[in-house]
Amino acid sequence: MKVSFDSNYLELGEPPSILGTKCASCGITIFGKRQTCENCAGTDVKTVILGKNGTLWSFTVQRYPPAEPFKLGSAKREDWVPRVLGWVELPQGPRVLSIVENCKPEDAKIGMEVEMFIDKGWLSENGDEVMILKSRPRFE
Amino acid sequence: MEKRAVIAGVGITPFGSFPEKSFADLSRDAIGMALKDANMSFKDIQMVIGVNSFLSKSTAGVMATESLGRMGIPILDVDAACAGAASALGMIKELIESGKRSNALIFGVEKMPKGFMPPTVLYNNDWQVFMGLDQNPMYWAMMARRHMHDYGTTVEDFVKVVIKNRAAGVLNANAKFRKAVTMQDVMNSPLVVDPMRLFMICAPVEGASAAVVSEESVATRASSKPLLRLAAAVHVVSMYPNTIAPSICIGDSGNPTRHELAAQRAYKQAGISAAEVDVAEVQDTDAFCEIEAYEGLGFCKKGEGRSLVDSGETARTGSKPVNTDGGLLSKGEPVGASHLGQIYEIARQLRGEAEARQVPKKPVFGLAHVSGAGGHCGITILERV
Repeated sequence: MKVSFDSNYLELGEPPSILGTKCASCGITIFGKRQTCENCAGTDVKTVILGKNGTLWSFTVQRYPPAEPFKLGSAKREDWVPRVLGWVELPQGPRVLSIVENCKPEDAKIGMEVEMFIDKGWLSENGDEVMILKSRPRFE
Repeated sequence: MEKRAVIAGVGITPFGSFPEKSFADLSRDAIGMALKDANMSFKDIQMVIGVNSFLSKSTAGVMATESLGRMGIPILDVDAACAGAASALGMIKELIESGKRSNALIFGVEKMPKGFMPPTVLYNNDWQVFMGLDQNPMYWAMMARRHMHDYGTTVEDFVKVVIKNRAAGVLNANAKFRKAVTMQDVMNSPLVVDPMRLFMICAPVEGASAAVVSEESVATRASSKPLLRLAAAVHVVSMYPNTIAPSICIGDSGNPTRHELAAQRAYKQAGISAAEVDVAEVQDTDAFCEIEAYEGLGFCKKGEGRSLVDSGETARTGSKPVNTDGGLLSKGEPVGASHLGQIYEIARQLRGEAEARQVPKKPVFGLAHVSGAGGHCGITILERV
């Protein structure tokens, strides 16, 4: 069975939804389902679905493997292929920390058009397939 | 009469790797120096605050000090990432100024493992660690990249910060790295998280630091050293957004940055402006962070941080010397001990005891700034009176 990496951020379904929270008091939208606004501590908030097409607000290249318990591949130095990570700005304003796939380090640029997509992550302890959010360049 | 809190004594161990010493040994080395500097003994202390983030011990403060004597005083531990000691100084300042205590000891200690900080300590969501979004320099790198985009700051500007601080570190016997570096050395060091290279990022290390904080009359009774008034001690956690570990979402909010927020409060508490700071220690966990700190502390306008390094203004001989002890880029970073390590340097500079590192003009106001995981930010200002 497919399950979300965290149902506060990604709801699987047809179609799947990236979840956010919009605050009625300060107007800010943040990533993930919350009871309280991180910006103003207001409680007049509602869950919203975030648009998946955004732009790369900033990025870096991870040149060394992450530490255990990394689950998206080998954490050995010799196996590691540098990958792009970035803050992806979504249409309602939040910038989400994301792996940028299908993007060579030399091709990454601030402002480039990217889309969030759902990909296989790892197997959970019960053998479920955990689905995660990533981003990739978007070509018209 | 109004009671004033002063730094009566400071102590520090070398920062580096000391497998033969326990955290308690390191702590006692720094505490012993601070007590000696204040011309006091442990019996004179009414309260102890120990600061650490990575020891994974319960009651480290007691473990470190019990062999000095169980005096029936409160001893507690504080964790606020890099800002733990700033928080402790703020609490002690209030207790002293309100007359509730007249003498306290704060120490910071850490035995950090090499390499990236352990993710399971810093990150709350398991999935973030499973995805490998957990190397904290990546946050610095992304903010650096954006700063380059918005303001035209360049990689060479970051290198200049490293060159400046490593040159200062040559004169600091307590620093882990005591070799000056060139532009080529830095650019030849491996990329870690673009555009940040290895030499642009500080090394986690082991070490301890300590300070005796006293009511003014207690300090003057014990020693005739110049008084260092604790003019401000501020600790804040950033408003939204937190742009560093372990954040997963940022965005425009119109809020001041953590540096700006802490600086506004610290200047107000001290009754001074940024222009009156004569010497400063700022967080340089990465070379960009120092530029970000200049701007947040109001040493220059937003986006113009690079010009202070370029012009030599923040070199030891410049008009606003910053990180005269080599900064974390030279000393290494023992998170819980780093702020009192800065206070040690500021105290030496204000008393005119910094020897080869002494800044040319006789400083009156010294500022120490730290910033770290979770959005913690601390600023302490000392005034020579």
